Amino acid sequence: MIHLENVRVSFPNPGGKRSVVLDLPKWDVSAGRRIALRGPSGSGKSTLLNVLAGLLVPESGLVQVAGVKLSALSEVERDRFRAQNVGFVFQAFHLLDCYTALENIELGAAFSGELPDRERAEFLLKSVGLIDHAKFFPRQLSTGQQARVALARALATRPKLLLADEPTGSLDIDSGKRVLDILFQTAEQENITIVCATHDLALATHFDASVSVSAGRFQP
Amino acid sequence: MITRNLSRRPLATGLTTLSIALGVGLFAAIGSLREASQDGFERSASICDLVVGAKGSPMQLVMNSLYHIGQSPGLLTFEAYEQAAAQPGVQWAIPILVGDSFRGRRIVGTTSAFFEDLRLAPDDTPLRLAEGRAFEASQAEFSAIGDGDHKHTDLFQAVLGAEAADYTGLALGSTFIPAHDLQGGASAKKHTEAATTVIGILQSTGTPLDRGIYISAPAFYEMDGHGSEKGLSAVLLRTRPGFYHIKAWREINARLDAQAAQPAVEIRNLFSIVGKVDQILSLVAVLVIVVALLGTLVAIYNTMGARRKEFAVLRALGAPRRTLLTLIVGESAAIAGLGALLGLALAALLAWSLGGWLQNEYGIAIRPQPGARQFFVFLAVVLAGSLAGLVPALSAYRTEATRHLSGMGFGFAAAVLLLPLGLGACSEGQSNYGSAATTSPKSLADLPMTTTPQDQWWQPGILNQLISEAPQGAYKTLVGTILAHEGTAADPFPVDFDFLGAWRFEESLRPLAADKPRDPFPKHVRFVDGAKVRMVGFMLPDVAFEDIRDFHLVRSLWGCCFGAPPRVNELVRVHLPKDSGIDYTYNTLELSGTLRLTFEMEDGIVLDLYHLDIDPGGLRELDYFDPGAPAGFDPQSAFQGAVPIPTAAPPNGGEIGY
Repeated sequence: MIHLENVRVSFPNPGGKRSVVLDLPKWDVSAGRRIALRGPSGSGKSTLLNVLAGLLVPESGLVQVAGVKLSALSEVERDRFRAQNVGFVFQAFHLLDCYTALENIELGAAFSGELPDRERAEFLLKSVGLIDHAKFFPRQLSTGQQARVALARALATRPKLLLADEPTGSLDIDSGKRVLDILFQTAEQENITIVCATHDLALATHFDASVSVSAGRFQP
Repeated sequence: MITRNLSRRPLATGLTTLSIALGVGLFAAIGSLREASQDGFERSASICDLVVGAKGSPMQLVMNSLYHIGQSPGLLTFEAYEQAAAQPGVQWAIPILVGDSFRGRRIVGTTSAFFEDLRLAPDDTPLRLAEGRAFEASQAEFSAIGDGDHKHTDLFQAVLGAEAADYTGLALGSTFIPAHDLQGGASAKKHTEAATTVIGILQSTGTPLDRGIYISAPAFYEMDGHGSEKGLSAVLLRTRPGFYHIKAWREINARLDAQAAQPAVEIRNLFSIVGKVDQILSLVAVLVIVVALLGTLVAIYNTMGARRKEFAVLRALGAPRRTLLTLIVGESAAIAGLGALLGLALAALLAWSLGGWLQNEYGIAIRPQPGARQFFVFLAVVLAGSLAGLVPALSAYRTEATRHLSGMGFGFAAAVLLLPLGLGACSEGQSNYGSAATTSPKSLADLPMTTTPQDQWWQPGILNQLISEAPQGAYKTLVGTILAHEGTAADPFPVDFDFLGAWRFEESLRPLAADKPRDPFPKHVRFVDGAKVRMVGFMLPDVAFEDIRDFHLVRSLWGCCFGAPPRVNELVRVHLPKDSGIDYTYNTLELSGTLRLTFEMEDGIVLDLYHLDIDPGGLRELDYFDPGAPAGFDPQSAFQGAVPIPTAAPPNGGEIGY
């Protein structure tokens, strides 16, 4: 599912030199695996997620996701790829406040080029236990409920890859566990690969593998 | 999506839409009224080719004869009338005699030809009676009056225009007494000898003809004072098409006592004068629209900052940049379009209201119709709205998702990317922790990456200088509190987060000059570098919870995890002595040790600025007390399950205070 080779991302620093923020010789993840990325802020986790999403193109190396070489695509093609194949769960969820829960989920697939799939959105809303809240706006939902809607939104396009950043970071234990259960259950049913950045050691233990990232490199 | 976005800002959307509507309404109403009134005037003007009257102003002649406005230029002789009527190609010549009125509506003496021969544009419609009949007064009878060889009549009969009937309240069979002036005021002399009976009422024509009260020319001359000097107010003339019209016009104008005016030409002249005024008004209206569109631009642009994350989320969901562009242009165009539609409706309402007034005053029925002009106004405003939206749209287009996903967990890389451009500024209250600070490349490149010698700050006089330079009262107090202590193990400086964080980190990095690097730390902080200090704070939950040797100390547990996160200069990296690791606790900590200031970057990240090396025995766990948290905040329940709950009671239940 994921194949990275000699991926290097760096940015110019004030001294004129470039600071390397991601330097991965090789990384392979097979389909359906659930990977946790651990590491402090600034270690390169987010950069890696951005690279996998096609939001950031590394200066060198091969990035292949779901058999597609992202590094060879134009920005518009990467946008389309992301819309069709990648789901996002943000720590702060970032539901759009002028849309209902159901519409937010539909928005997840709005740019995939497919016709709106109301049935899929309702199915997902039902899966996360919020079908009764379909017409609620985000401000009318609790944090835990928002998290579940955000998760459903990420799954709207039946993504092959789901990227998450501290998906339970803003939730209490019960809500976090519920979100995680739904995430893993759906991922298993739909063979979705998950890459999740987290500080939470306890959360990381629920994943198939946990990778420690530091200074842009994987640590043993 | 566009309508949803607009509906969540109802006030701004409503006001900008209203501004555009007012501008468009004014612009369209002016144009519409001008067009419609010109059309109405020209329709009336087209009932004849020439108006013949006494020498004078041709416009005055036309206004008086056709529109019942103003005074007659004088009397036309019968001889001139006969000559005009005898011009080659003349189809009909209808005499018009004015000078009397009833209740403000003019009485017009004429012949039967008025009802039989007049035709109205554009369909050559004849005058039709709504009820009753027309009087009989032939042209031959009229000519005989001029010759002084006619039968006198006592048949005072009138046919009313539709508006005149409404206005005067006269109905079929009513009798009225004409007044001997054009206003029909109470003081005017009354023609009591000529009690006139209404025998017919015309259908409405939408022209000033509706405002007339028509009586027969012979009857007009029978009234007191009318027969002494026989003449005509005007003659309406119709010629056969082509050459005859010009020939008659020339021949009549060649006379010394008569003129022929072309109503169509006079009306065009009139509107070319009035047109200047409406051009100015139109210009004002266009300016109103431009200002309103600029208002739209500003209103949308002002939302850009707050909507960056929304755009970033849309980008993350796969929205191409052009979708963001289209979205914003669409919002602007929608506001403009809605404003234009409302404006056009407003213009129609205005035209309808003013149209009624115009018809009452001048008998001109105006019929503003939505047509190509309105469509083009709508199109132009929408286009201009789209152009106005381009400015914020381009801003949205340039949104870098990786940068604005920052704070959602993504985006560190972009923060580093923007660092050398000076664009990654962290605003006040926004966390610098774990991300790069903003500065210009030169300053950072030339900055000392290690602590500079601070001995100069210990020199006598520097301390007093610090206090004298302190800009604010609270700041003075902070520095003063520090100076009351020695900064030794026996008497450490009581340092708190206000003291450490009372400066803008990114500002301090700017060089004083291009070649003159600047110490990133302000004087007051540099003053405590290397000194023994005492601090109180809370342990930031991190990746480990047991046997912790290093941790971040923060002002408040609320701030660390729920409220506004700490800035990079509001974090202290605490280093415990060897073999003295502790487990995580949310209780308040009191720490004593040596404070070190460092400024180092690693892979583009600013590392911790403050380090506190704890002296042996320099850590005390107190009862939980967090003045920075809201009332009722309970870390035990807030962190339940996330961090281990302390198993033992704190060794000391103390209060916080310096």
